[in-house]
Amino acid sequence: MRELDIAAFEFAQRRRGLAIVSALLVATAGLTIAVFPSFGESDIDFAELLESYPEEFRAAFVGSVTDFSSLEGYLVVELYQLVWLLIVGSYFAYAAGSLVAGEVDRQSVELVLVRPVSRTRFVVGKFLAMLPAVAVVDLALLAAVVVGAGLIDEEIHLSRLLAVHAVGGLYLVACVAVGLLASAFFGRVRRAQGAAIGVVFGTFLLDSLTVDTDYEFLGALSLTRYLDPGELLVAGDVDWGGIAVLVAVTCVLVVLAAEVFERRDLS
Amino acid sequence: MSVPAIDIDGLTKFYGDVRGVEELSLSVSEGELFGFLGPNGAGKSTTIRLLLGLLKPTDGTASVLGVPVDDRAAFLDVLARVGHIPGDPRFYDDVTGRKTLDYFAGLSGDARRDELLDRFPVPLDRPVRAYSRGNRQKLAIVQAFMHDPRVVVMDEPTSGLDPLVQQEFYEFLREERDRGVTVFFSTHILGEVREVCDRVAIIRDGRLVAVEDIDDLLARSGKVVTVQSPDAIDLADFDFPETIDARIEPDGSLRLVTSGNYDALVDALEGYRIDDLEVRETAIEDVFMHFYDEGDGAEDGVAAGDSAAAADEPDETEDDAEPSPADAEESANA
Repeated sequence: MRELDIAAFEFAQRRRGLAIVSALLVATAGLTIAVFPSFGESDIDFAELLESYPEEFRAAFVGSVTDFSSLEGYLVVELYQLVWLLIVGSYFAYAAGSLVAGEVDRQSVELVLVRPVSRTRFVVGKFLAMLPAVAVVDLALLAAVVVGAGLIDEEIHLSRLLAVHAVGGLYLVACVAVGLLASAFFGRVRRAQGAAIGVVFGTFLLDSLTVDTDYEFLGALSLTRYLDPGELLVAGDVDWGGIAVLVAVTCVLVVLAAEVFERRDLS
Repeated sequence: MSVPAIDIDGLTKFYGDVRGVEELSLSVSEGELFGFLGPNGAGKSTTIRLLLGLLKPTDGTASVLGVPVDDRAAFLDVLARVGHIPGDPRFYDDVTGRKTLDYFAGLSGDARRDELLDRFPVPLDRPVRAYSRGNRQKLAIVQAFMHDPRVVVMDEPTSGLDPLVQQEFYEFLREERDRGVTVFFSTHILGEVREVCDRVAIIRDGRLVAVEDIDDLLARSGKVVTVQSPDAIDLADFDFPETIDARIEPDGSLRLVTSGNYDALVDALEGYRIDDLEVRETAIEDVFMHFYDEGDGAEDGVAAGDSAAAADEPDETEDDAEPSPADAEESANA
């Protein structure tokens, strides 16, 4: 299985970056959770405060949550909606942008594709390398939230938390696929990464800004339309249709990336 | 007659409007040490990338071990028996030489790794980032040969190697050839061609100028006669059928390349006072100058005498004229 050789080699080179991202994410989660007790004690009515924000802002950063007094609702607003969906999603799109373009850019591709490795296998191998990467980051945050909740003596709904991380993981894999396609298309790393992050970030804004307008259908272009951390963590509702879309989009993007790369000239 | 190891037929590659190579046809037999010579930018790297399936031809075909490059599935099997050294080999900076070779071994095998490392040692446990140019080149040699390929395609493989390693590498190539391995390599170093090649193709401006047997080429190329005279020399006096090339050098001396008929030469010289006279074997440089100059004269209308100065440095005349596909992509995306 040459895909796995390629995946293992690629993953090994990304270990340090992943450790850093995981550490940053754990620190963010820790700080967020540490603030929660004082947040609950303050006199401010956050529900009311958030009511006063524009609809678009709430759509982007608050999601469907209406109850902020529980740790779950608080985490959705403070952690999952913004940090997870937007920042970690953009990070994975960005990181995936160098998967193929990085090798083309530094010309090492000339040492790999002159071996009995088809370009499709090469692209699939690069994609597979990012699956454990997503899992590492996903599990690191999960562990941080569980441990953090324990430290402040708060109950957290474990099965719902797992559901958020499972679906969130699929979302991140879809972000990787966006980066992979950009990476197969562009010959330069910077261009691929720029395009990938632009798509994830741009469609996130599109989804948020068009909520409750005549252009709401445009938000369907965004991956964030297909998962709702609030629904999952606070209400415990799993959107199977959304999951199916995330998986299908990922498959289509990977196939497209392989197809695009097969047809390209490599210098 | 067996299938040629490398068969190129009418191969053409344009990057947009810019010519990479055009109408290239040549054939290399198994077990041949074949040189591919041309100045920088002549299209050597483009040809090699076409030959390995990294680029798609605009027209024409290339086959390796009987399988056309565009038959993707079948060509993958061929690649298992092909080795390659790129023009400027780039590895993974943070990865050690050993792990780099482990990775390539997983993709295509490494039966001969140890033997090659004995011959071309590199600091295996240091990251490639810390390698000198020469060490990178040696690592490239090891990865290209370690799976015991039948055909090896190399783009200027000796650049960066010190002279001793270079000699070792030439010796190694001759041994490989004797084992039946086909070696195809590009170079702009003439001496290298004379030292190791059986045959050579000469490329210029993306077109094939000649394919010659090295020995024939040298045998046919005659002698170089240099005459210094206080008198003004008239080129017309030396226009014999055997004259390959005649020109007046900038210092007023006559430089004649001739394949014989020294009687006529002596007769022609009778009319001149002679300060100095030299007759020597043609150096391979003279032979190639002949090919390059022909092109110059035809395309630019440069008189033979005028192009002599430029001819001293054949390698520099068309530096970096080869369009890179990356540039073509830039413009395509713009």
